[in-house]
Amino acid sequence: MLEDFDKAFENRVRLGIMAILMVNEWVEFLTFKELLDLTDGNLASHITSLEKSGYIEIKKSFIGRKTNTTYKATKKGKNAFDKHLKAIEALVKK
Amino acid sequence: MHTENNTHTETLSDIKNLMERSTRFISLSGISGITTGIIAITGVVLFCYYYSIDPFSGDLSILNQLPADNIINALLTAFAILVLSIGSAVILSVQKSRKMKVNVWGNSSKRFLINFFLPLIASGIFCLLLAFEIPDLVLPLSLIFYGMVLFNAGNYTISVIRSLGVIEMLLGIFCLVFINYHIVFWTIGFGVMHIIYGFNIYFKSDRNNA
Repeated sequence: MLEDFDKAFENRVRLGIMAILMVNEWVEFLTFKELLDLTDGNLASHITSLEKSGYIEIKKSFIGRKTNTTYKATKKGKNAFDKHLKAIEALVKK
Repeated sequence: MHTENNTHTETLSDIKNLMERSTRFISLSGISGITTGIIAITGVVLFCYYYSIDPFSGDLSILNQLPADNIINALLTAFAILVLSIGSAVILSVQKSRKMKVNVWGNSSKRFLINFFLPLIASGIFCLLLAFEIPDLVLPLSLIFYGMVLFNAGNYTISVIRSLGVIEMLLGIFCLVFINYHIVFWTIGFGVMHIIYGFNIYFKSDRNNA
């Protein structure tokens, strides 16, 4: 079972970001910041790492002159999260 | 091993919590439930007093006996109750959002508002038109409609709202069965139940976040 534990989700912030993206379609940077109570830099580094794993995709658009960045979980990311969650649940049930 | 198991349980509850907070509008104000209930009861009492209606008399024809102009007054009373209730709910929930430091106009609140107001407006228009045809059916139907609205909207806000929806639907059915006392049932549904649920939400949610 332990091999199902995903290294990308060892960190609580990354696990939190994915949890939010599992139940929402496109989520803004600011929303993550509020829900997870993080600084910009901290959040950005975890987002970048999830993107590198191919677990999330990023969309940049403009609202007036401000950039608005939103994030979405990829299919790969959702599968990985599901697998990781099942592994934790199996451990808890023991 | 035991402590590790605890950490995993904690992780699971963190995930669940985040999923809830990111999808549900959790800053619905309990106090606004209480004010809504008080406004509804006050409206009914004033209306009955003004037209010397005894809601406990068991006389069904009271609304039918009102001249046509007075149907409009009854509707205006109901409309005033609605506007004051929604107004107080909006103001108090915005305040609660600020206290909880969550975005008032985020995805979760938009989703809640559309799921609450769209069916509410449709059923409101239906009841409004029905008031000129079969006024006695308006009270039981508005309870059933409101119950269905809450049952649905409860998916997008504090989950106890769903059980309030079930109670309002049941009261709507009772209101039709005991139609001679429809004003009494309507007042229980829109007045008393709002106050009870308002207190419930206040003690469970508002106070912890004040």
